[in-house]
Amino acid sequence: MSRDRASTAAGPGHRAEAAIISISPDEAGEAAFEDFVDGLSFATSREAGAMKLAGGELLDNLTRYSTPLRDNRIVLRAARRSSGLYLAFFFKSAGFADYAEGLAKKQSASGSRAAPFIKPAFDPSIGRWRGIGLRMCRSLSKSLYFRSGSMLDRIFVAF
Amino acid sequence: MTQLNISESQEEGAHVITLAGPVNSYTYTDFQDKLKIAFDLASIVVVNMEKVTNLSSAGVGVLMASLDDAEDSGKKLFIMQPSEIAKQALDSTGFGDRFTIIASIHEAK
Repeated sequence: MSRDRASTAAGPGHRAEAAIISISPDEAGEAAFEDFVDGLSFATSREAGAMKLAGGELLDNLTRYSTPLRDNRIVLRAARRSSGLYLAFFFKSAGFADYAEGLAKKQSASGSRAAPFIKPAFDPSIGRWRGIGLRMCRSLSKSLYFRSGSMLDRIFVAF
Repeated sequence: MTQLNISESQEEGAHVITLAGPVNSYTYTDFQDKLKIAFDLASIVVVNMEKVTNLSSAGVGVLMASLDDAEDSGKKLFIMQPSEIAKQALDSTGFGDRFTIIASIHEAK
């Protein structure tokens, strides 16, 4: 894991703070992400909780549905801006474009940049609940952007 | 690697499962197994979540399914002293009100 912190001036009276980490899409990466969020000096405990919960769900989805990733790495950047707290994921996955397109269609249909609403329900065929993670992302974040690019795929979450 | 530590005890007629660490997609199965066995052994199960450092949808799903099973069989599930992030996770699902939160084992009746 590699980790870096940055603190830069963003104009008079403002100070942008940010931290970056590079992780692998696996259990070690999940643990590193949780430690990373716990160590953010510019987030309150409640903000860090929202970031850990919603970010963890997105990380889990990436690990499950978008691997293999180029270089087997995901770079995460957490930052505080005047408008709030942000978390960005940077990676490259062959399967992400379809996933991002599907989400964009759902958001376009709803007219909202929030995570799509899917009512959680128990699925007896697999014996567990479905849709809880997306519900958590929706209620813990202000907006969610998925962007697939030729060089890099990105997810931006605002809290 | 951060692990989920699970300990169990019998207190005041209840089976108490104490969690310490993250309940996420890598650790929830141990918790799920312990919870299933606990409901085979007792009619009142208390999950102490004071030291839970993360509660993902996988962990919430285990609690939801266990609550459903408990209600169907006339048994009771209590959550004791949830950490701030555990409470935040439960509330974020919209199902937080379904769970009975207690401050001490004496309230598990």
